[in-house]
Amino acid sequence: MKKKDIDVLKHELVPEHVVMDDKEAERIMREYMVSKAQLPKIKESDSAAKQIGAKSGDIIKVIRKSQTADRFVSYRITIK
Amino acid sequence: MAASKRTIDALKKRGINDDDAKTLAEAGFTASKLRGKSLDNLVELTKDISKGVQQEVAEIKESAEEEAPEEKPKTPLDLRLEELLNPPTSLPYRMVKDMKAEISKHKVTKKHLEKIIDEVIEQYNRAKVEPCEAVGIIAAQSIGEPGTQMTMRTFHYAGVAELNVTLGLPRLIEIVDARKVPTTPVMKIYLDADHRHDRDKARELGWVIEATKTSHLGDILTIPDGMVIQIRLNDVMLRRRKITFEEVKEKIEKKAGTGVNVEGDEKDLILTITPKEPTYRELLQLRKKVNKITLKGIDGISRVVIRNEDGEYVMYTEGSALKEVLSKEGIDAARTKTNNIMEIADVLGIEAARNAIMEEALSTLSEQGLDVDIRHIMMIADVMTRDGEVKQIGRHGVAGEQVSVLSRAAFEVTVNHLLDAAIAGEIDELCGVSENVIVGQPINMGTGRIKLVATGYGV
Amino acid sequence: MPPMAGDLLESNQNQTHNPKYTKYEMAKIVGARALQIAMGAPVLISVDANDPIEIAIREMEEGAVPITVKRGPL
Repeated sequence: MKKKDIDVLKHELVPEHVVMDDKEAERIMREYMVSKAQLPKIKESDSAAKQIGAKSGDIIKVIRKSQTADRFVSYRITIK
Repeated sequence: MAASKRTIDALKKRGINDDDAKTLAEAGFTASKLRGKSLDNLVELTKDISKGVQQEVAEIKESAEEEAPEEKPKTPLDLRLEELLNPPTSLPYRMVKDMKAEISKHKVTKKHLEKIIDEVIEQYNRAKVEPCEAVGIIAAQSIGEPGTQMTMRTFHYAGVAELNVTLGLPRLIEIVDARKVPTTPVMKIYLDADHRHDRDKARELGWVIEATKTSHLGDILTIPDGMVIQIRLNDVMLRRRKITFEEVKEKIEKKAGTGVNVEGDEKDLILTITPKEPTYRELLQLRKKVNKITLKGIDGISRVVIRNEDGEYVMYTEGSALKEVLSKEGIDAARTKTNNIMEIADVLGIEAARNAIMEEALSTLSEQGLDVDIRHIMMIADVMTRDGEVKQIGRHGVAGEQVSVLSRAAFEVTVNHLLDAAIAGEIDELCGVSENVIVGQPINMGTGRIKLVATGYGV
Repeated sequence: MPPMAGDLLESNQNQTHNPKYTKYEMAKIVGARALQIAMGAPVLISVDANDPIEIAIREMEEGAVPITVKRGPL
């Protein structure tokens, strides 16, 4: 049987990941009054981060499905 | 375009069947176009028209693609409410959705709308956890207390007969411990649309996934007299597991590194394996190796049970190998899951691991009839996945966090810890609770965290 | 109308979206003010009460407390 590539982002458990551009990232950090170091992290080698092509230093917007809020937007900073 | 009956009749008269006639008529054929045309001309005409139709379809598609993003025009109400999703109000998505649904049911003036919005924001802010609240402790207690009522040891079967899964307290501890491999790794494999309704196809896929070991295919005999190992292949098993004796021979030769001799007929095959050196030790080692060889399937998945669940066939496995299973053809790579959280973190990423921790913890608790608010579990999942990798929450807090000397000393072997710290010249920042209690300062939580400033009179 | 923390906060410390005092801030301010009053500080409003805590709470409600909080990371 043939091998196929795994599309990580299609999996139920994986929420939507989007790399944010610098301007938007800056706006978000200002609005939430946080610095980059305060954000949760995600590794560059993380399967989902790799698939969307995030580089170290990028901020990834994670759009989660939530049981309490239906949809919740969270942010993670890509690290080495 | 209503197909005229006259056109259809006219087409039929020229030897075109019912359905085609109707289609043609709908595509714009009219009786007048047909007048005085022979069948050959007709073919030409049809081509023309079908080309036109194709073009039209393409145009429609194109314009649909252009317009698709703005499905429904947003009303001013929608826009006003969606503003609330962003800071500084940052209302949760569901709240805005519910507001939209509720408000659109009634006639609301602009003034009233603003009043409603203000009230919602007010109530939302009142329900929010305030800064300085010790949410971690509340989460720990909220999970710990029901935990005392959990069955300490469980050997229950989670829904599936014959399949043993760790549940209850041991499982909960396993989840927060972030173990590399759970005590009972299991997978739930969903199948794709082609396979999920067909028992035979599902079974076949089961053999592709379940690891076939040598011992599954027949008896293995160690014969010390002749210094050989014999495998008596059972042809029923060979056929059931869809593997030929040539494949078996090849695999064993490759993995064991020695020649394999085949004797006997179709019904009763005997494979004879001779060790490289005719010593007793070598023979026993070879036997061990032969036992271990995976001839077919995925290494690590020792059993597959197929069940019918809500009208589709689902595979439950003993053992877990997410990456290998996901890359197999025929499975549903979107729903297939494992209970091994570290494996999920590796294969699907940290966000998937966060969801997996929440799902596993919540299902373990609710399976025992305990109702813990999801927010506490979210808290734990967030803390565990904060640094981009799954971290354990153990007796000493979150793994990797540096622990204060004083709190370590308060926990065990007090003098040794203090002495070592003094020798190493360690610095204690006094940020934890126990350190501050030890030195007699307010702790950094609740009112203790507030720093006061005098403004002077008359402000 | 009690004062908003946002009005009183030192400008460089305005690291918050929340213009209101939290329950902890409220408790801490009232507590500190009550202690001052109990030790003989002049009361800044006209109030018909003897309990320093009650006086402090009334002062808080009227926005007369000469104390605010410093917010931000530790």
